[in-house]
Amino acid sequence: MQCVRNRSRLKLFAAAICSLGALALVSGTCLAAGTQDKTRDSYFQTLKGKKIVWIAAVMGNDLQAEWDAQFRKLASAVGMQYSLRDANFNTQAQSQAMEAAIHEKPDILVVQSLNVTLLARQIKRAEAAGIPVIQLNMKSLQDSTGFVGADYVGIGQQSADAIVKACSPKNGKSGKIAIIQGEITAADSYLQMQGAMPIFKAHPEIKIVANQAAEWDPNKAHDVAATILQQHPDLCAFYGLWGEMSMGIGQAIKEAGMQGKVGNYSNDGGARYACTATKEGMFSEFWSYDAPGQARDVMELAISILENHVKPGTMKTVLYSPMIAFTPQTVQASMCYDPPKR
Amino acid sequence: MSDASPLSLSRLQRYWPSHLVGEVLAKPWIDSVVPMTVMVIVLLIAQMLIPGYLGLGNLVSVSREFAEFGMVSLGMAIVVFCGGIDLSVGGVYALANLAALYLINVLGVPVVLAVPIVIVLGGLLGAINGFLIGILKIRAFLVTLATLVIFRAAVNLLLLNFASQITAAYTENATWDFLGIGKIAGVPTNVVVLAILAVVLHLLHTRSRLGWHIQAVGGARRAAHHAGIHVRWSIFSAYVACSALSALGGLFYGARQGSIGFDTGVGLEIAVLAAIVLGGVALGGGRGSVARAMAGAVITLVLTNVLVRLGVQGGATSTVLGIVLLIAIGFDVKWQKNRHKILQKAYVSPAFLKLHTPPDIKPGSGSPYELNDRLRGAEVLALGLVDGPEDVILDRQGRLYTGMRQGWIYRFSGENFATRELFANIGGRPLGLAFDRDDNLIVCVSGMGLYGVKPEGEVFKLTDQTNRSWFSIRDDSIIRLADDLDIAPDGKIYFSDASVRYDLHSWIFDGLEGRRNGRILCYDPATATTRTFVSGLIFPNGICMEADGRSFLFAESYGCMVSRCWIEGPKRGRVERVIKDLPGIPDNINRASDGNYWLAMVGMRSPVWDLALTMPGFRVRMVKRVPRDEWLAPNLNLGCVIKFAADGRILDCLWDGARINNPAITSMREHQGWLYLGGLTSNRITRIKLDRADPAFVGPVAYWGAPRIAGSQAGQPA
Amino acid sequence: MVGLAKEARARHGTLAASLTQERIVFGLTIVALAVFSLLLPGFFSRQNLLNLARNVSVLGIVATGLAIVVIGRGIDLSGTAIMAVGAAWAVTLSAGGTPETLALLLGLGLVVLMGVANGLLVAFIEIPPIFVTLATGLLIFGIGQFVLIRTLIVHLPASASFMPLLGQSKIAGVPIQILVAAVVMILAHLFLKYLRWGRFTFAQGDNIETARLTGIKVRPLLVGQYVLAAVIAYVGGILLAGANPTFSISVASAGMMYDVILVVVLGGVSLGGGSGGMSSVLAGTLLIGTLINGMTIMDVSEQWQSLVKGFVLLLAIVLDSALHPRDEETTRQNDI
Repeated sequence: MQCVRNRSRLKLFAAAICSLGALALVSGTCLAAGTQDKTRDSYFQTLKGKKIVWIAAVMGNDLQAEWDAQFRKLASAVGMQYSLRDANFNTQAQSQAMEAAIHEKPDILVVQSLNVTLLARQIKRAEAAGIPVIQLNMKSLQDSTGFVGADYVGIGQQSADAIVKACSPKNGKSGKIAIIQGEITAADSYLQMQGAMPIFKAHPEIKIVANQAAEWDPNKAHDVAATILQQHPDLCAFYGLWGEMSMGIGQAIKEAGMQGKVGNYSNDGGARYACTATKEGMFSEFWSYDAPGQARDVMELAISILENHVKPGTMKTVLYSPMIAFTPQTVQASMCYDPPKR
Repeated sequence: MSDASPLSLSRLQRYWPSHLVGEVLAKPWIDSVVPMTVMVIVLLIAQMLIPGYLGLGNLVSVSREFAEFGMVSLGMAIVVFCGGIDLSVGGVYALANLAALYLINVLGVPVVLAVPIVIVLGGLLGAINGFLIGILKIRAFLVTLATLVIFRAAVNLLLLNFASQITAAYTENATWDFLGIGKIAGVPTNVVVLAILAVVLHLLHTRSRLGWHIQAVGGARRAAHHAGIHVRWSIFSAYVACSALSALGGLFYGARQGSIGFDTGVGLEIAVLAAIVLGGVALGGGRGSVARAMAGAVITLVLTNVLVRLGVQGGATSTVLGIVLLIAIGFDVKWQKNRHKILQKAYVSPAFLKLHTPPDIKPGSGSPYELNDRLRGAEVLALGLVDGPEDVILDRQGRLYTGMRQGWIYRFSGENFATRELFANIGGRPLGLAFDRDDNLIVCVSGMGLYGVKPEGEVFKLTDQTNRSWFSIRDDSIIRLADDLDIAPDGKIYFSDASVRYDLHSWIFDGLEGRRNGRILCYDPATATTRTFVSGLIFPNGICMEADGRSFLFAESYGCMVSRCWIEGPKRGRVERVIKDLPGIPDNINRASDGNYWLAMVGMRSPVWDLALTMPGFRVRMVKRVPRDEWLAPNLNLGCVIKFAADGRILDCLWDGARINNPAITSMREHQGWLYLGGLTSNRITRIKLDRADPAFVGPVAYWGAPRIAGSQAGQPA
Repeated sequence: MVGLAKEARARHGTLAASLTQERIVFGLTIVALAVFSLLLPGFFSRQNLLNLARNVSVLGIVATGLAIVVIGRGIDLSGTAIMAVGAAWAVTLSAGGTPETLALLLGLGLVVLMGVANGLLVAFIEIPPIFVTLATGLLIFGIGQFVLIRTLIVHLPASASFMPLLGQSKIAGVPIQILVAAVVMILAHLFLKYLRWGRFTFAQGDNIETARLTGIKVRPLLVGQYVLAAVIAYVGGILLAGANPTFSISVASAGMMYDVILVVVLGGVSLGGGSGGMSSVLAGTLLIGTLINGMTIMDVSEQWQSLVKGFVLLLAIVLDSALHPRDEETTRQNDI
C-alpha cells in the first residue's frame, strides 16, 4: 500500500522533472537564435564537468551493459563526466570501489549493491561526506538520496496473481507450481518471494511442489525443471526469478513436449531475447522493468539533484520502474531493447 | 716490488667489491627480495596510474580494505608452512562473519565477549580440519575441499533462517564500530590488529618451539617425525590457528561492512592462495615467511584495487592476476632451481693479488731454503692411528696431544707414545692447540670457535662469536674458521679466524680468491668477551707470542708472509712484515728452544699459481666455466719446516724430499730435543732428533714456568 | 573349527582389502538408488533415470578429463574455465556470423592452445600443476570475459544446428548427451588401458622420476594429458552450450570445478597419482547424480544438497583413509 502511495507521489515528481526537461528542450529549439535563455544556460553550466560514478555489481549482462551505454550517452549529452567501476560479483571489490569513490568525491554516486547489507555503512559515510548516492535496482538497508529500480515485491505480487489465475483448479488446472530462484539469499529473490508468497498462501488450491535455487545458471535451471516435470507431469507453471536463467526452464518444457501446457513466468530488464523467446512460446508471461527507462530515471534524478543543489540527507526519493508485461499474444518488438554491441 | 709497478685495471680490481654479489645471494632473506621488489613496483605503478595513490589519506582507506584479507593470508601461510593447504578459509570467514553479526546485532552480546566466542568458534572449525588432516592423516586438499562445501552450505542455510533477523536488528554499537571503522592514532583499527598479529606470528614462526616444529614438518615431514617432533600435533595446531585467523578476519569484515550476503568470502581461498604464493611462500611447505605472505597479500590487493579504481571491466582483474601469478611462480620455481648454481658461480670472487718474487729453493742455489732430505729419517709415531693431526702439542708430562678430523682430541703417552687415549670429544674439527697457565688445553675448533679442555678432559666453550662489523653483508660475528692461537702472558688469547667467507672444507677456495678475508681475534678471559683485533688479512694461520710478550708473530697462508703484530706499547695493533717472500704457504708458528721460531709450510708456491693470482679475470672465468674439481689449486704435496729469527732471518730449513712421511706439514713442536710434526691430511705423527737443541726444553714450562698450585682456573671464563 | 575360523578371517581380510573406495561408492550408489526407488514414487522410471544420467553427463565428461590428469599425478583446476570459455567463444563466433563448424573448430583450437599452455608450464617451467591451473583458470576466464566473449551469458543463435543437436536431441529416447558422455568415457578407458601413452600416464603418476629413467618422454606426455583434458572439457562445454538457448559462463567461476574434483576423488582416483580409472569416475558421477536427482524430487533445498555432497565426500575420504592408512615412512613430501 505504502509503496503504491509512494509511487503515485513520485510519479508526480517525475512528471514534473520530465515536463521541465521538455520545456527546456522546446524553449531551447525555439529560442536558439541568439536570445539568452537563463534556464538553459544555468542548466548546462550546472551540469558541465560534473562527475558521476557508477559502481556496478557486475558487468557482462545485457542489463548492466544497457545501463552503462545509456549513462554514457546521457551524461555526455549534458557534458557530465561519467565513469564506471565494475565489482564483478566480488563483495571485496565492490567495497573497495565504494571506499575509493568516497575518497574521490564525485558529484553523484550511483551504486548497484551486491546485497542489502554490504554497502550500508559506506553509503551512509558517502552521504555524510556530501556525496549524493543513488541506488540502482538493488536497494541497500541504508536509505540514501535516491533509489531507482524494479519493484521486486510488486513483480512478485503480479507474477503470483497471474499464476494463481492461470493455474487455479477452477480453470481446470492442477494448481501445482514450481519456483526456481537464483540464490535464495539474494535480495531480488528474497523480495519477490515476499511479494508472491502471501498470495500463494492465500490460495490453498495452489500447491508449490518445488522451490529450488539454480544459482542463476540456465543449465542448472534446465536440469531442475526437467526433474520436476518428470516427477509432476501435471505441473501447471514454473515461476523463474530471472529471465535469462528461465530460458533453461523453457527449454526443459519444450523438450518434454509440454510447451503451451506448462506455464513459464519470469522477469528481468527485458532485452531483445525476452521478446523473441516469448513470441516463440518459451515464456507464458514476462515482466520487464525496462532497463533503458531505468537508466534514464537515474540520470534525471541525478540532474535534478545537481540542479537543486540537494544536500545528501535532505531528500529521499524512490522511483520504482514502471513495468512492461507481455505474453506471446501481446508481445511487440518495441517492448524490448536491443542490448548494446560489445 | 709491487709498489714499483704501474697502476693497471687488474691491480685496481682488488678494490672492486664483486664478492658482495655472492654474499648477498647467500643470504636467507634474498628469497624475499623478489616479492618485495614486485610489491614496490606494483605500488609505484599504482601511484603512476592513480595520482595520490600513495598519499596518506588513500593509503589509510585502502589499508582498511586490506586488513581482513591480510588476516586470512596469515592463517593460510601458517598452514602452508607446515606443508598443508586450507581451502575452507572462505567458509570459516563467512561463518564467523555471520556468527559475529548474529551475536552482536540479534543477541546483543557485548563485543568484548563476542570476539573471543567467534575466535573460539573459528578454532573449533579448524580443529575439525586439524583432526582429519593431522590426526587421521587424510589429504589436506580433499578434507578442506569437503569442509569448504560443508561450511558454505551451512552459511547459506543459516542465512535463510537468520538473514532477516540480522538485517532487521542492524544497530549502532560504538565498540563494534570502533573495530570496524575506528582508528587508533590515525590508523584503522583492523590494520593495527593485523600489524600486531603479523609481528607476533613472525616471532612465533621464527623463534618459538611450535613455529620451528611447524617449519620442520613442512620442510621434511619424515625427518621431523624421526627427530621426535610431534608431527600430528603441529599440523593440528596449524589448522586451528589458520581457522582462528580466518574467523578473526570474518569478524572484522562483519564489523566493517555489516554484510551478510551469500557471496561473503566466496573465492577467498583462491585469492589468498594466489597472494601468498605471489609472496614466495612455497606450497608444500618449509619455505616462506610472514613478511613474504604479507607482501603477496599487498600485491594482490593493490592490483585488484587499482584495476577496480581504473574502472576496468570484469575479467581484467582475473586476467592480470592470472598473468602476474604465472610469472611470479615461474620465476620463483626457476629461481629456486638455479639459485645454488648462480651462487656457486658468483660466490668465489677472485681478486688481484701480487705476491713477492719467491726465493729459489733449488739445491745448490745458495738460498736458505735449499731443498734437502733431512726429514727422511724421521721416526714415525701413531701410524694409522690418527686422521688429520693439524696441530700437535706436548704437555709438561711429555704427553702428546693432537686433534682428529672426527672432532676428537687424542692423547698419546708412555713408551714411544704407544698408549692412545681419547682425551676429549669436541664435536668440531680441532685445529690449533695451546696450553694455558693452568694446563688447560685451549683449542681452535673450525666452525665452532674457541674451546678449552681441562686436564681431566672436560670440554668448555670460551667463545664462538666476535663483534659484528658495521658494513659486512655476511654475518662476520660468527667465527667460521678458528685456525691457530697463542696466549699472552696476561691470559688474553689471540687466535686467527682464517676466513670470514669460507669454511674448512672449502679453505682452498679462499686461496683461489686471494682476498683479505681473514682476521685475528682476541678473547679476554677477564671479561669473557671477544673482539676483532686485526682484520683484512690473507688467510691468517699460525700465531706465536714473542718472548717479551709485547707482540706476536703470525703467518698469512695465502699471503705467503710472516708478520708481527704489537699488542702492547705505542705500536699496539700495528702490523709489520717479518718475512715477506716465503717460497710456500705457511701454517703454524711455534717457539724453538733457542729463542727462535719454527714455521711449518703446508705447500709450495708455483709460478702458475703466482701468475694466476695477478690475473683475477682468468680466475673468474675459470670459476664460472670449469667444474669445481678442475679448478687451479695450490701445490699441497710438498712442504717443509723452517727456523727463523725474530728479525726474519732464515736460520734452518728441513725438507722431506722423498715426500713419504711429511709431504704437507702444518705444525711442529719442539720438546726435549725432538721436533714433532703433524699434517692436516696426514695419517701419522713424526719426530726427528734435533742437533744443538736444548734437551730439557718443554714448551709449557718454558713459557709459563713451574705449575701453579692446582685448583686455580685462570684460563676459564669467570 | 580352527580351519573354519581361519578361513573366515582370511575371507574377512580379503573383503577389507577388496573394499576399495570405488567399490564403496558403487555400493553407496546402489543403496541410494534403492532407497530413493522405495521412497519416491516415479523415481525408478526409465524417464527419470535418463534425466538423472543426462543431468550429470557433462559433469562426468569434464571429470573424465580431470581424471586423466590426476592419474598422471597432476591436477587441472582450469577445466571448467576451459570448458565454459571455449564453448562460449564458439557460440559467440557463430552468433557473430561465423559458420558453426568453423566456429567449433576455432573453439577447439583455442582449448588446445589452453591445454598446451597448461602442459608447457607444468612440464617445462616445472611449476606445480595446482598453481599453473589455478592461474590459467583465472587467466582463461578473465580473457574470456574481458576479450573474447565480453558478456557472462551467451545466446545460442538460431542458425546453430550441431550444438543443439548434441545438447538437446535424443536417439531412441536416450538423450545424445548421455551417449556422448558414454563414448568419451569408453574412449578414455581404452586410452588408459590399452594405449601406450595411457599406460605411461599411470607409470608417470606412480613415480615420474622412474618413468623418466625408463625412457618415457615425460614432458610431451604431460603436455598431452593437459591437452586431452582440455579437449574433453570442451566436448562437455559444447553439450552444455547446446542444451539451452542461453549459456552462462559463470558456471566456471561457480562451484562446478569443486563438483568435478568431488566426482573424481569420490570414485577413488587418488590425487597422489597412478591409481583409479574410468570406473572410478563413473562411480563418482552416478552417486552424485543419484543424490542430486533424488533430493531435487524430494524438494530438498540447494543448501542441504551441497551439505549432503560435502558429507558424502568427507565420508568417502575418511573411509578410504581408514582402509588405506597413510604411512609416515612412505608418504611423499609435498603431497597435499
